[in-house]
Amino acid sequence: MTPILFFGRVGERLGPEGSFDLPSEGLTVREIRNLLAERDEVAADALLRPDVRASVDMVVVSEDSLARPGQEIAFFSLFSGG
Amino acid sequence: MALDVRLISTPLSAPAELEAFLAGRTGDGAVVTFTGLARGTGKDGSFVETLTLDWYPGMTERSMQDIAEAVAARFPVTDLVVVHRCGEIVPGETIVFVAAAAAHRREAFAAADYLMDRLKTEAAFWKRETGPSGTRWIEPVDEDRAALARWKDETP
Repeated sequence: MTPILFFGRVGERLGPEGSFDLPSEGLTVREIRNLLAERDEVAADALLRPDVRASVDMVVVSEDSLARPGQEIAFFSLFSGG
Repeated sequence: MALDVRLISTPLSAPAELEAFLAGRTGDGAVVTFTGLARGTGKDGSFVETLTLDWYPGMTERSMQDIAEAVAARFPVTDLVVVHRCGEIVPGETIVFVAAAAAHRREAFAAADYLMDRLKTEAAFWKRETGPSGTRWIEPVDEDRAALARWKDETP
């Protein structure tokens, strides 16, 4: 299982960390987001928002970016800034 | 040229940071600093008991470092320090301290100003205020975005 990190409003709803069975060939951020959202209504409400962004290995990426097992994946609400 | 970028979860002393930044500095004519404090009232005037800054270990530090490097590339500063708190902060405590050293004051003022405008909008933090009526998330406001947009039309 690949850990998925959640921050900001997403972390408030889903907790700081979830896990996901990521196939060896990887999935796009969009696919991971949609599969996580299918788990329950809370996940869908927390993740299926246009202002929720994703990062792979700590770099903010687009929905089409591929994530593979072993990479660090996170979903979060907009940065507040410092 | 030295960039000193730190994320800390313990109290931040602006006087101690400034003293360390000034020590032994003989080649620069100007040091400009900014100290950001946690306010005891929210935007709507409500009472704030604590301000909490959530962070993504590794990514938040990287975002601060990227901003500091962009400032150093844009302005002729000799040294920069950026120290930012994370975790729970109470009103009156220092959240952020920045200092810019340069040969002359204008470059130091501009560098500190630009650094703060970028930190306020782009740093990887999630901020929330807790008061008697509960907790609410804080996001960049239009003034923060407008402050950053000013720099797009200016040459350093």
